[in-house]
Amino acid sequence: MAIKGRGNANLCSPEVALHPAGCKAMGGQAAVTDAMYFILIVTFLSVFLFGFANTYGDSVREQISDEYNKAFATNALKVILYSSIPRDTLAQVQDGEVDFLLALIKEDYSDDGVIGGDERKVLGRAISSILSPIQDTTDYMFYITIPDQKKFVFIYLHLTEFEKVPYSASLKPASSEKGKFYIYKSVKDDPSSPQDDSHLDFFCSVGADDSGSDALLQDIGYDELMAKVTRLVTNVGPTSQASSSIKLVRESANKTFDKTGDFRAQADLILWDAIWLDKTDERPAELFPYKSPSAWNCISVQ
Amino acid sequence: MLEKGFIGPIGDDLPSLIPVLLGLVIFSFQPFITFNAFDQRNTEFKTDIDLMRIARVLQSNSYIYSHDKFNELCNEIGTVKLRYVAMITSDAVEGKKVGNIFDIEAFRDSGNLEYICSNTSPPSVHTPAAISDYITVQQASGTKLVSRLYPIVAEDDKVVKPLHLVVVAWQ
Repeated sequence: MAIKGRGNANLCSPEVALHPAGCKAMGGQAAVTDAMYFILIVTFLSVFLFGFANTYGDSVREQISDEYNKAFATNALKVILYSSIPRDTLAQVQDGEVDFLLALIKEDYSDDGVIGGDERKVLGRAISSILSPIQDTTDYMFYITIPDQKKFVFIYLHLTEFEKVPYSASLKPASSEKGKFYIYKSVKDDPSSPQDDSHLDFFCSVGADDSGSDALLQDIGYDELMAKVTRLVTNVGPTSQASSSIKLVRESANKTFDKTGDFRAQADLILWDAIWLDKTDERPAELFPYKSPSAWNCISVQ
Repeated sequence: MLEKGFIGPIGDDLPSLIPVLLGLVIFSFQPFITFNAFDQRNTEFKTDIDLMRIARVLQSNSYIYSHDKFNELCNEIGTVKLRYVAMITSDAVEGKKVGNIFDIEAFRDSGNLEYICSNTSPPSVHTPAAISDYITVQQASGTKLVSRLYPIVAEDDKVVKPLHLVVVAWQ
């Protein structure tokens, strides 16, 4: 520190001491230097405290958000599995005979080992209505599997539709397809049309003969599709997941429900913040093939 | 004889006093600002946690089998410093377009009973009751408002209906 000599003429060098005001002038400069050091330390401490105050509680906030998302996913799965629906799949829930949704699915599955088109729509509608409050910001997937048999029974996928807009370096929309960078905008829904333009809903793992059309569905095995689902889930960022064990039955040849036709199935619900799933510069393979959903054995929900 | 450049014992250190005083001012105020930020965050967390506690009590196991059960759960909520209103709504399931949270209306079961739990008394309640009966947009603009929504099922006339529980809390 430059405090040496301040207020003590005896500490001045002989050359400086020859001038009557020499040592005192040096003392003034030293005091300014000290003050500068002081303000430097104070500034450093202030910046540190400000930074600390700014990030204080971020992890708590994240935990609260995680807790809510988990509770939401768990509740949503419970509600899907508890809900009642009319036996007549076209009727409203208040009309006619009602049954648990899961009972209807179980009954339908027991016949032929697949969930039929109407029941699939009913289940899809129920999932969609339960998750409708978050559908604009969140994408989700609900699926039922029989892990022991390596079989997907049902997959419902709700995705937000994005458009990739190229921008030039001067932050203006680029005229050519190749931009300096891209902004992924969610497609706006046209309120005048009855269909939802901003989202895409799919039933996946649909058998070729069960799709109701001649869609070019490929023969995808459980392992391959599960690998695709896992790749999707691990690359979409933070997810909220809920799982539940359910029981499905299958009629045996003599029309009885014996032990061999009793399967332990699993229902899973996975939610994540809506993101672009197609190719990017860093991701050469898409997470979900929007343009050719048949690669996942998916058909669009009408 | 006049001493050149010498103003006096204080005057000589005058330029150094300015940064020293500035430093002291910053040093004194910084803890106030920091603790104020801590306080604000802690209040936010407490509001969030209290709201989730209210929601957890009301949700129970996500299955409300009667209006009485809902009232019983409502009475189980202890004293909270927040003002809140929680209601079960069928708006989303029925596909009603809701502009904002204040327009959400309470579900009425087959016995015309509404599922509402609150620790505030609104001046007037419309039929069906809405969140705006308890707190309006104007009132909310002057306070910190937190809301959460949970899927829930309620049994009504032996039909298990998928619905949503909305909890709105404010200071």
